[in-house]
Amino acid sequence: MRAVLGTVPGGAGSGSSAAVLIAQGDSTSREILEHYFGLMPWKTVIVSNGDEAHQHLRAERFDVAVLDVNLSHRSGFDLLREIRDDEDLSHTRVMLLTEDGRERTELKAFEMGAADFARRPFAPAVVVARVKRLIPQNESPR
Amino acid sequence: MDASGGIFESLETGTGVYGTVLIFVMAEGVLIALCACWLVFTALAASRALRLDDAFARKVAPGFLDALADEDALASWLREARRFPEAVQRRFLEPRIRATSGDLNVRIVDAYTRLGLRSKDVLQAESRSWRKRIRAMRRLVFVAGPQHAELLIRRSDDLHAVRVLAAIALGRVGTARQVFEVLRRLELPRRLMEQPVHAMLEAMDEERLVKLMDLWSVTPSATVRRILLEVAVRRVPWLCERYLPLAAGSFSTEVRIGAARSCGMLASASSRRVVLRLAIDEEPQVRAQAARSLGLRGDYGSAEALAGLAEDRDFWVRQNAAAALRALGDTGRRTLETLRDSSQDDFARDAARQELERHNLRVDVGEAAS
Amino acid sequence: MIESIDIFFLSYLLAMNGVQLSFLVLSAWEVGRRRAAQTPELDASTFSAETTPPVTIISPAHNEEATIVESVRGNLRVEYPQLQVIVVNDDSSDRTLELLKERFDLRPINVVVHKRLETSRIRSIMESRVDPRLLVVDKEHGGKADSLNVGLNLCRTPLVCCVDSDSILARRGLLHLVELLLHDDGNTLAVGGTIRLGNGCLVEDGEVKRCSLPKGWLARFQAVEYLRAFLFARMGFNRLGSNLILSGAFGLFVRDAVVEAGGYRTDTVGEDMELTVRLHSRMRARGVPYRIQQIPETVCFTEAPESAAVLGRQRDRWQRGLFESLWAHRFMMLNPRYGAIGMVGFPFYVVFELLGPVIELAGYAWFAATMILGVADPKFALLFTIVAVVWQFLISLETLALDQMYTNVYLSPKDRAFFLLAAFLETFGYRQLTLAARIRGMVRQIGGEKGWGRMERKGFEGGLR
Repeated sequence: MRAVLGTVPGGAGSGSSAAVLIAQGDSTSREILEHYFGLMPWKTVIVSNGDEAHQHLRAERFDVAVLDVNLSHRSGFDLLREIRDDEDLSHTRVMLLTEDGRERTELKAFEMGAADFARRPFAPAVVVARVKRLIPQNESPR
Repeated sequence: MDASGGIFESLETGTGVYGTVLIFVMAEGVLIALCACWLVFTALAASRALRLDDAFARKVAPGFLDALADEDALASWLREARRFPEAVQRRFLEPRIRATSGDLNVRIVDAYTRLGLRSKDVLQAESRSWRKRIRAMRRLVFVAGPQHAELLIRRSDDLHAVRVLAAIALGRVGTARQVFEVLRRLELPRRLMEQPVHAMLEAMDEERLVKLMDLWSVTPSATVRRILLEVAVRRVPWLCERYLPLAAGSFSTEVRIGAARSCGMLASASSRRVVLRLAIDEEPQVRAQAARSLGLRGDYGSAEALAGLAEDRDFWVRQNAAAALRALGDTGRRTLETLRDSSQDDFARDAARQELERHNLRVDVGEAAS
Repeated sequence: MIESIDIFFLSYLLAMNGVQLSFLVLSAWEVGRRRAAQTPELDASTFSAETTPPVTIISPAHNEEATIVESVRGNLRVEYPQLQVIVVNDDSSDRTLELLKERFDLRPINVVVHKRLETSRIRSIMESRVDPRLLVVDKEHGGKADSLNVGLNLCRTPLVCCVDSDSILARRGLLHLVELLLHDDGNTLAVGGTIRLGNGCLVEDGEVKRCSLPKGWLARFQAVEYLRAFLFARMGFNRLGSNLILSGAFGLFVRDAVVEAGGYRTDTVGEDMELTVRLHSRMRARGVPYRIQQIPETVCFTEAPESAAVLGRQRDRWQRGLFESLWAHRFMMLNPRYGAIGMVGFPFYVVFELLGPVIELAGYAWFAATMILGVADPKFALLFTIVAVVWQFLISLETLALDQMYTNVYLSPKDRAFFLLAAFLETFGYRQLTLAARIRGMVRQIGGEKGWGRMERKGFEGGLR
């Protein structure tokens, strides 16, 4: 299986300057998300663990971050807290996409300021639709 | 003195021990050779599998998701995939089936079926070897359809692992009646083993869950009835309410516990009556759950009842009652302070003190804690 | 006469061989069975289920400043839905407590202790503001067993996991142990998993990233020993009915069973062994069906001693602990009332683990004596050596095969080659080293240093199991 790490160039009409960060530990999920997000006009960066996510968040500006709760090195909640507390990052809207199906996790996610929450196994088209909704309107392609 | 060499001499002289030792040594030599061969063989097999998986990933995999959208493309993709051994196909498809849901999942399962993999699973599910059955069930959990319900029901009379998997699969695809069939036969000797029932009920959609709840009163196992209440209160709370009075009056402690727990997630007047009634139940477990539920409900009027429970004989009842008071804002805090300062019961005072400290801690760290 | 003594030693060796050969079959069978029974698909469901029982990890700590923070962070990172971590500071004289206070922002709280076990006095209980799941207890000195009992008194979850504070947990280890309890209808009271050496591993942030055979030879020998013990011996015991002893570095227990049995005994050096033996004893005596099991999966990585002196002390202590545990429950020996444990497990430990070093030493002495007196039988010597070495090698090879089948830690050809080399070289030096330590332990034990009443500093120096 190819390692799916890296940047997915936007699909048709790449005039958009929106950027999405995806952090998922599961390689199959990453592959599927890469395919679906590749069809969308925004830039997508896909990483596999919390540290890389942290580095990318610091390095460039993301409009949306799709994070799993169970990540290596830093959990999705650690990253969420970081984003919420840091002025430079607080514009990034976080969607938690996770295998953890517990109700309290979902509650905690919203309490901590996540913009959306979805469970794995996921329907990729729905995930993309939800992310699209989170991207600020003035970023859409002209 | 027996200094002369000659291993074989000793064999001839019939010294049994030496002979046996030799036999052992030779046997061990053979086993070593076998072991070494097995290790080498499996290492080779593993690297071969890796090569095939890589080839598949390069040649066939990339076009998969696109092919799913178009019938012709899919047919040709399947032809390509069939060139590879079944194991490779499985290693590719199974993780994708597990990772997805909805429309995409249905289409991947369809591809899986068209490759003949599902029928193989169905056959293996009835195999005489338990290892094959478990392996088959692990796959059927994700790929079984309503037409396999009968098979799944049959499997609920099998090893525990198989039963769990069959139950979950049935929750997804079976009718309410079929699920009931399985529930009827399920033994749940310990609280720890309830996961399959929960998993099965979670997998059911609301419509079927409602139909299942219609059969609540005739469900033989008290434990299952309790679990049904707990699941119902989250998914179909109005239906749970209907059964609460009945459950609260049940002879079975299990069922009353379930009723007490469920009240914690309801806010109606009738559930309030039920929980207050259960707060003076003779079983400590029931009272403990009732105390917990009173806290969850957040009803300030129950502070008095909880003060009484804080002086209960049972440790858990007291703890739950004190924690529940903490959740009742100022009213609760005042009640705790009263308990701490003037209760006759040592334990109640301790518990109250503990909760008041916790309360203060929470207020400070409201921001910091996640 | 000389012949007959020769034959005695050879017969002992044969008996051991015979037993080991049957274990060869049993362990292969058990590991194969466990592999076939795995259901990783249920992991997500177990993780998410509201019914998955909460677990408390109790970590006794005494002078662990070097590893305590990393260890606690690792424990908090474990992939398990409802977890509480209790660190019990047993009056450390170093900065253990200070480090914990700094890194985890501790605040004293007043918690009601459900005091079902007698323990030494608790000075304070602290909660972490950074992670509310962490509780740190500072208490007066009482030893490891006492610390564990304190943890048990504070434990509010149905399951409890006792971990050494220099051990690092595998991320999913706990989940799989609990899954065994959930999916196995045999009333399992305690479960253990495979413990591996952390010495050769790359650890980041309390998480083991990569594992290979350690570099030092002493550590390598131990790595081989550990893997053999877990994949080979204990899996074999699983098949035979139960494991007599679970390792102290990591064990998952049903809290009520342990508390009801009286918790850990503070007057023995092998408190973990003694507890498991006692659980067996009580449950068998009551006639209640139960199980104490081991799974092949790696659950924990522990630091093994890298110096001969520390290793020697560790083995000395283990031998004494074993002696105490077995002696305290000697009525179980060959007692049919205690089923497989009494008739097989217990005698095995007595004959091969307890008396084994003695007979081995006698064997060496005998050989030396015959050499000196000139009546040595080269046939005997040769056969003895061959059998000992060959059998050792065979078991190690099979252990690698079992690793391949299930646990998959030593996969690279280099690791495997060194593993086998270590297995071979073990007999020429390492084995004698541990033998000497164990004999020392036995002598001390019989000589009266029974550990009754004398609160030795149960040092955690590097060598925790």
